[in-house]
Amino acid sequence: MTRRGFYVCLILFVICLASRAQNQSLLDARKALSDKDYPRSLNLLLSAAEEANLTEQTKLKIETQYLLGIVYKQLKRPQQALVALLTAQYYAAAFPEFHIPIDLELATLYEDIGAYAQSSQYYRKLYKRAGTAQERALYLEKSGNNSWHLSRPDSSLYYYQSALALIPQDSIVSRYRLLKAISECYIVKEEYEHALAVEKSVLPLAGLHKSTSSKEDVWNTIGYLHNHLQHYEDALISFKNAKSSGNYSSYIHELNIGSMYLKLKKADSSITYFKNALALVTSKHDEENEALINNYLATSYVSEKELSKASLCNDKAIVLALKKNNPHLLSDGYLIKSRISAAGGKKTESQHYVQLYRKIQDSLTLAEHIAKLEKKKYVPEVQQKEEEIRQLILNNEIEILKNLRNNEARQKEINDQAMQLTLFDIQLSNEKLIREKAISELINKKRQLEIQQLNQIRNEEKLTAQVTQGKLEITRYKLDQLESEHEKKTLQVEKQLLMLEKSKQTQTFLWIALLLISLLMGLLFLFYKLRAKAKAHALQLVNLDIQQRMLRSQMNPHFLFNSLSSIQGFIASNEKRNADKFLARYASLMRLILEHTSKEIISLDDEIKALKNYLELEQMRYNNSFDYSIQCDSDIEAEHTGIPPMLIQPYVENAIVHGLRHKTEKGYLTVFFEREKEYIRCNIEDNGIGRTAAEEINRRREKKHRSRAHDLSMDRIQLMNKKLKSSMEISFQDLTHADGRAAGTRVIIKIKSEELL
Amino acid sequence: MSKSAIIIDDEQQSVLALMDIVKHQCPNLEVLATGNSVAEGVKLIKQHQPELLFLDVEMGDGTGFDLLESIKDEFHCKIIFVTAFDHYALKAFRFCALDYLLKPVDPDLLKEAVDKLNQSSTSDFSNKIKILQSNLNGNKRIVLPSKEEFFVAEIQEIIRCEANGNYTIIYLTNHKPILVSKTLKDFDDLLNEFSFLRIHKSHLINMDYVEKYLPKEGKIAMKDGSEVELSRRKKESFLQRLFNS
Repeated sequence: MTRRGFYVCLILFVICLASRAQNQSLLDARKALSDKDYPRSLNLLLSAAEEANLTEQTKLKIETQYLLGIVYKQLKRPQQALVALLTAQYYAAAFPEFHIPIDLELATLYEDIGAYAQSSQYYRKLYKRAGTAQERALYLEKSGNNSWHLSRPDSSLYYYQSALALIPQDSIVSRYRLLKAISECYIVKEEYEHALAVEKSVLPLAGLHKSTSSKEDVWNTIGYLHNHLQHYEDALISFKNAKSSGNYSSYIHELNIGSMYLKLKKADSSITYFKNALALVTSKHDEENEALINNYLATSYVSEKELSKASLCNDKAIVLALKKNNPHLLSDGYLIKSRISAAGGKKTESQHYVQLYRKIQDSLTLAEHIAKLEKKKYVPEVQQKEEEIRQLILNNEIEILKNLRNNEARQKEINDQAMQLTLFDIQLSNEKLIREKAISELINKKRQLEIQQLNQIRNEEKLTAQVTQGKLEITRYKLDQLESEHEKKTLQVEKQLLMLEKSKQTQTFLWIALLLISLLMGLLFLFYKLRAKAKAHALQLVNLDIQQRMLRSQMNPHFLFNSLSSIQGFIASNEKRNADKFLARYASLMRLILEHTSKEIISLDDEIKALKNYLELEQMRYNNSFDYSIQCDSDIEAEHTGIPPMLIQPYVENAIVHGLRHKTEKGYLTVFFEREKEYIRCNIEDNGIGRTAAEEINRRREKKHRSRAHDLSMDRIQLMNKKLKSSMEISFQDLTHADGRAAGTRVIIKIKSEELL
Repeated sequence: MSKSAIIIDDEQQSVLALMDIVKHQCPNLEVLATGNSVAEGVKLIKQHQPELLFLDVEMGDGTGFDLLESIKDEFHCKIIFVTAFDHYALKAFRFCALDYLLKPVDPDLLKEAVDKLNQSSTSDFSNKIKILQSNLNGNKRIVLPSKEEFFVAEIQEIIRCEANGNYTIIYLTNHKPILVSKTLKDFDDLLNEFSFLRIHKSHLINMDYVEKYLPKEGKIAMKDGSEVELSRRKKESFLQRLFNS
């Protein structure tokens, strides 16, 4: 067991080193296993095994299956244990470090379930790989045990003797065990001389260790062997030795000694020993042995011819044997009874009891025979079971292979598809090539046509030349007497004609060249234009940011100066307290604006804070001539909604300056934010004089009013729309009373928002 | 009952303006003296032992903190810091939950600050100042003003902050969670220079206490056993921080 423990430790260590990614459930399972909590360990291992199958980690598979095997074995589920261990073995084919522990578990498992042949195989394998003499001896001994179970005493004897040779003199327990096993082998082989010799060598080891038997037992064994060899004298001495080395008196010693005296025909001595034995047995109410001893006693009495005493003992023995329903004792009883009857001269009675004795003996041998047959049957059963298990494992393997093949098939499918795709691609490119070829062919044909045309033209030239020559000849022939000058003139004219024709040809060439060049130029032009456009676009994007920043900074001075003039107003009207307050709030707003304009996006919450601050200032400026409210719709989380800064303030300012300022009664301004998909719609509503009236006032002032803030905001929005691909917009609504009078203005700013953290 | 005060600011115009506002807003406050430098301030404080000090942060010959340093032992007054715009100083004040005024001073805010200071206990205040001084070479501790108590936490003791309306729940390593009357944004601003990261609109976490990331659930398991939701938008920056640290 310690050796196995060592191997378990070893394999765990190996696995720890080998697998970098430790499996948690496996670790837990191991812990549970060492705590002997097998059901928990089993559960953990099953999940680990599943994981191992999923992740295709072979080492993890081996380890889980190996541990599963151990756990199943502990849980007395040998079949599952065998499946697990053989699976582990299957996976471990390429990992020699696992072979020894797995084989050891398999060997012990086979031994446990009685598959001694298989167990023996594994032990022999282990023997071959064993490191130390001690291990080799152990595996030999195990093989010997298996052979013993398989009723092969010869090979068993061989293994035991080989093992004994490997064992050091001082390891008493092992030596004792092996010697005992060897003697048993000899006994089975009915080589009692050998057995006797072995037993004699056991004698010095007896009583030295608690796991070795006492000297008394060994002496008894020696005695029995002598008895078998019919060395009754020696046997008597041995049994007497046994009795003297024993610590307490036992009926066995008395019985043995008595029976030896009987064998040595010293019935009188035997009777005293049998009587001693009988006394010991009756005091313990051991009725079976009482019957046995009574039988012996009866035999002794028969030898001493004391028939009445003999039949008394014999009757007692038969009654007890019947009571205990022990056929052996009964048959012995009947045999002795027949002898008593024979000694008493009662022949028929004697024969009757002999027949009874034989009947019982026959049924006993039959029973023995059946038992032997049963035993023989048992071995094939185990083999059958193993076959089943093998089949199961094979099925598993087939499953695994199937899965692998499926995977391969799938891979193939994917590959095929990829192939098809590439083929398709190739086809496409082929088609392209063909098309290109066709095009080039067309071009070639065109050229050929052109060449043909050229040739035709040349032919025509030739023809005309021939014609002219012919004509010339004819004229020459006809007008022989014509003046040579005239002839020359006509020739010159003809030549000029030819020249003209030739210049026509060069003209067509020129035309084609011109066409090609202009095409090229066009392409170049287009290319440059595109490049310039791309460059311009990139530049534009960069500019957008710069412009944005510029616009934001332009916003500040605009508001700044307006506010400064307000402060100026306070100072002018000598309102010291208000100047203090106003200045502080103005400073606070300036801080906010400074902070906001450095950002592209701020939270709606911050924007509202700035607006409130601004409106408080304006209220002070206009002597509380208006009230205001700023509200958000319930589905807006102002803190987490991001908007571009400073878009709203200019319109609030407009509402006050152009709408509310000219109003005589109390004005009211509301700013309301609502959501419209990814936009925030900001409604700025005043109950001022309305836009037409405001324009009228501005016109009366003869100052062409142009809302600079509005222009700037529009520029900003356009830029942002380009950049964000959004559709922000600003719209105006004139509000009217029921009777058509102006009721104020509403400005709606649609602002792109984004979620903020 | 009137209280004594001193104003120290290196700009005489500012001193005059503040005096004027104090006179008007807090008639119970008697300005005993005014000074224009750190050195003068030290002298005046020792001389007058005022109950309240208006202290400018940036001055010609040093800062308000220098002044505090040099009167460390004889320091018994409450202070209202006044500053034009110094991000660094403001942050230091916020870490200690100390009130401050921005220039030009808002009369209403000045009254508010003085009233609040009158209500607070002297020991709490001097503790805050001590933390401010120990923090000046880099912030390590933070004052968490909760309803009843005045809690000082080491920044590295904070595991995470969770938004709860306008309040924030602070989870600490060795203390029960604290409800603080500041928004999560305030803490984000204060703590993002440390190992803190805003990972969700309701969560600010200390990256040093991240136990593991659970990608399937989109959550982060913290070392105290809690699980915090990770916003999709913050996933990238979270992972970047996780692997860079």
